[in-house]
Formats: sequence, C-alpha cells, structure tokens
Amino acid sequence: MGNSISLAGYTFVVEETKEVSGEDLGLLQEKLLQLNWGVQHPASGPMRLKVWVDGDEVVKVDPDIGYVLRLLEKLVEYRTWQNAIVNVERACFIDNFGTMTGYSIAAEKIAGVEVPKKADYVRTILCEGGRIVSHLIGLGGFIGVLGVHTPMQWALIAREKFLDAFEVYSGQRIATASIVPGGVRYEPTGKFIEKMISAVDFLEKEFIPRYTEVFIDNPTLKLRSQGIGVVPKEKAVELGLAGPALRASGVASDVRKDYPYTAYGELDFRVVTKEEGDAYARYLVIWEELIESAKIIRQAIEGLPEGEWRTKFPIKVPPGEAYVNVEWARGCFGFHLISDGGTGPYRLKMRAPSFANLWAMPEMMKNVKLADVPVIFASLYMCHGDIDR
Amino acid sequence: MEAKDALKIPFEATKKVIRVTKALFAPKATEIWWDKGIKRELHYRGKHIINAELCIGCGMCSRACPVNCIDMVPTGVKKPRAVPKVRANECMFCGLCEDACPTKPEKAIKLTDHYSMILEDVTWDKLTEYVFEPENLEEALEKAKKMEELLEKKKQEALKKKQQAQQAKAKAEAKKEQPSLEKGKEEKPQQGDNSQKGSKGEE
Ligand code: SF4
Ligand code: SF4
Repeated sequence: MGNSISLAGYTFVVEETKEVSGEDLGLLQEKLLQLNWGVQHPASGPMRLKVWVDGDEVVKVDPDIGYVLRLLEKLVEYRTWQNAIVNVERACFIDNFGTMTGYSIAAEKIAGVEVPKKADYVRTILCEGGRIVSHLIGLGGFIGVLGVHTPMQWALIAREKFLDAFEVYSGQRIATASIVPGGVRYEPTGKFIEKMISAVDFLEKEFIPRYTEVFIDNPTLKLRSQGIGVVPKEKAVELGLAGPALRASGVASDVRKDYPYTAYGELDFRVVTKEEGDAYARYLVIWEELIESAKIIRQAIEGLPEGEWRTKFPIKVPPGEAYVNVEWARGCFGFHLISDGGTGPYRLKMRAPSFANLWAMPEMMKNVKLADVPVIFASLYMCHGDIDR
Repeated sequence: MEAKDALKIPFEATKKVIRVTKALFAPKATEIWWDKGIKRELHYRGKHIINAELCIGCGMCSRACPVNCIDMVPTGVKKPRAVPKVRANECMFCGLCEDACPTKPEKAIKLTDHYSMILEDVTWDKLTEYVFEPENLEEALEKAKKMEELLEKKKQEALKKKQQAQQAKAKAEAKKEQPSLEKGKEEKPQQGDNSQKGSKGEE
C-alpha cells in the first residue's frame, strides 16, 4: 500500500507517519491502508474521499472531486443576461433562489437597474424558503449518516409543503428559474402566499415540536457528535470556513446582517452562533437557523408591499464589473460578474462556500477515528453541486 | 382535554380500520396516475402550445432559449416567415421562451399544465423526433395566404389606380401644358400645386 502511495507522488506518507508515531518507516507503510469513501457511498454523494488509516485512526484525507463538474461558469458566457439564471441556479438545486438572487443583484449593479420593493420582498421570501428546504435536508442527512433514517423522512415531508408553494409560484418544484435580473418572474399571487403560510405553519406547529422532542438534545446523538471535529474560532477564520460551520465556531458572520441585500435590512432576525465549534454545534446552528428563517418568512409576508414585481432589464448592459455576496443556505456565496457591453455576461466567477468548507475538512479529520469521518463530513453541510460547479 | 381525547379515540380508530380495509381490497399498490386528469396549479410549466395564428415569426423565443432547442421552421409565407418548433427532448421547461414572446395580449408560445409526455418503445430516434409543433399551422398558413392574396389584390388595385391616376395626370398635364406654354412663366408653380393635390386625393 505504501508503495502505491509513493508511486502516485504522495510524499506525505513519510511526514505523516512520523507525526502519527515515530516508528520505522518500513513497518508503517504496511500499516497504512487506503480506503475509498465514495463515489457511491450514500453519505458522500458523487465525491470520493481517499482516506488513509492507521488501524482505526485517520492519517490523511484527500478529497477527490469533479464528478459533477458541469462548467457552469463557462456556460454562463454563452447565455444572455436573462437566461443565464438557468445555469446559475444549477450550482445547487436545493437552494436555487440564493444563487439566482446573487447573480441578479450583480447584473443589476452593473446595469444600474433599481428593483421594485415588491420584488425584493418576494426574493426574501423565496430565499428563506430555499434556506429552509436546504436546512431540512441538511438535518436529515446529518442524522442519516449516523444510521437513523427517520428524521430524513420527516424532513422530506416538511420540505414537500415548501416545494408545493414553489410550484404554485413558478410552475416548477426544484429548478424554478424564478428570479431574474430586474425582479422576479411571476407575481406573488394570493394562492402562493397562502401555500407558503401553510408550509410555515406545518413547519412550526408539526415538524419543529416533534423533531425537538426526539432529535435535539438526544443523548445518543450528543455522544456521537459532541467534541468531534472541533474547530476553534481562530482556526475557523484561518481555514476560511463558511456558513453554519463558521457560525458554530463563534464567528457571527452573516451577509444578511453585515451587508443587507434585498429586504433583509428591514426585517428583524438574529444571527445564530455557538461557541463549541464541534459537529453537534454545527447541527444546532442549522436547526436554529431553520426556526429563524420561518420567522423571517412571516415578517416578509406581512410587510409585502404593493406594486410592480419586475422592471425592464436592458438587453445590452454597459461594460463594468460587480462583486456581490449573498448568504446562501450553506454560507457566503460570492459572484464576480463582468460585462463587456454585450448581450450576456463576459465572465462569471462563483465563490462557493462548500468548496471552502471542503478544503478545511482534511485539516479537521487528522487523527480522528474512522467512524467519525461521516459525522464531520455531514456536519460541514456541503453540497457537491457547488463544490464542482 | 382528556375527555376530548377519549372521545376522539373511537373515531380515529374507525378511520384507521377503514383505511386498512380499503388498502387490503385495493387491486394494486401502484396507481396509474397519468389518466386521472390532475390539474396543476396556476402556471405549471409543461408542454408547449404554439399558436401559429398569433405568431409573427420574430424568433425571439428561439434566441431566449438557454439550451437552443427551438428551431425556426420556414413556412413559405411572409407572415409569419417562420414558426418555432420545440425539440422536446432537450427542453427543460424553464418558460423563458414564453417570457420573451412579444405578442399581446396572448403569447404565441405558451407552456401549459399538460405534463404527461409519454412515449412508448423509446429509442433515441423517437426521442429526437418528439417535438412540439404549432397545432393550427395549416389553418394559419391558409389564412396567411388568403391575407397575402388580399393584400396582393389590394396592392394591384392600388397600383392600377395609381397608373390610371398617372395616366390621367399625364393627360391633364399634357392638356394644361399647352395653354401654359402660351401664357408664360408665372403660372407654372400653381400648376405644380394642383397636380400634387390631385395625386393625393386619388391615393
Ligand atoms: S421552456 Fe424549453 S423551449 Fe422554452 S426556453 Fe425553456 S428550454 Fe427553451
Ligand atoms: S412564438 Fe412568439 S417569440 Fe416565437 S417567433 Fe412567434 S411571435 Fe416570435
């Protein structure tokens, strides 16, 4: 085994083995075993982790990505300003509203277009809906990798209500293509608002109490996830963690609060932080953000103004560039959009939070037990769609 | 609360018993859903309907499509010069073509709530042949042809009138010119005015 690693050009074996225990190299090479976690692993998704273990202890983890590479950034260059959203939203289909909002704000900045207030509110409602949908899957997935699949089913039932609302709004459940530069594509009808409220009602009245009872503060879950994958505050900043993982380490960083976009500046919500920085804290951050998001949706629906929901967006946009950050479900998503005066984007660079979290993972997985690999992986709350793009 | 709950128990129990018995005698676990005529809500984005009578053949839908799955098929008439044909296999039902269509008040290309698109014995050839075409194309073409004929007639009539008018004018001028030549230079601009008015009236 050791030979094959060194043949592949990995010289770290020597260093790592010294670090693990200062024993003779020859002996250690035989001890090291490379495990492939993924591509078909139910928890890893379309991604492969090369895990080198020494007995039960993980020596080194090397993520092997690229299985869902779709060249989204390049494809955007072949689109017009309006229809580039179909590529942007596919960065991750689970919360597609956040990415579309970021791209649209960037395009509007370059073109100097002012969006109507109603569009801002609808975007807020949709973004929070997307966040809830994504967090539900994150929660279910986290316990799913520990071997209990009931919460995933519960989460999917709650998610279904939100998908119904999205369908009423845009006509599709997942790839909604509903937020475009210049506003939102459809009018928020009474029926959509009704569905959204009933979905939030279900979440708050049925899902949250039931879930709290069983899967929050659960002793087995705590035993399994507390004190695992701990990232202290300074380390989290140094590694460049994003989203819930960063907030679980005590850094109150939230683009919605720090640099408010759409209607977030007018709404009242709090940034969830935890001090522990372990897997359980990350799980709790996701959980509490879910509750916050439900409140934001209620506020936004109450404050929904009258008026237009879409303005005219020019076909040709003057040359210029813009960088926009949005707080996506999985963290801060950056869009660097450049226009050369044509009918479509000249270049779009997306800075994805999951990608940042992924490269912090090998650091966190040093010297943990093999059984903790899935726990840390799931607690980082990553999406393969936006790792690869 | 307790009394209420106690009252609920037989009701709930009967409900469950009924459900289970129903399930026991139901013929199959999987139901066929596509022939039930389920209505999707509001604007579901399903199969396209292309109305060739409304279409003006501008090609905006084809340009707006992110996956370039709309072909503009030439019709042979002047308006619409071409009508869209959607390659359904490649379409992702984003609805951007509908947004781009400029016809008002009704869009010429629309996504309906018709979602069952079932092909049997699916092969790649069949999939590539699966297209959404304008349904009333022939009628529309006939109409367009009639319109064209009418226009043509009108044009020819107009042309005839013009020619007649010109001939008349020429005659009149020829008549007028003779006396004008005799009278002298001063009256020439007035004649010009007269001829202009006359031509306008005839048109
Ligand atoms: S709905 Fe289909 S045909 Fe229309 S723009 Fe989208 S992909 Fe193209
Ligand atoms: S369907 Fe609409 S957009 Fe497409 S060619 Fe006809 S009029 Fe133009």
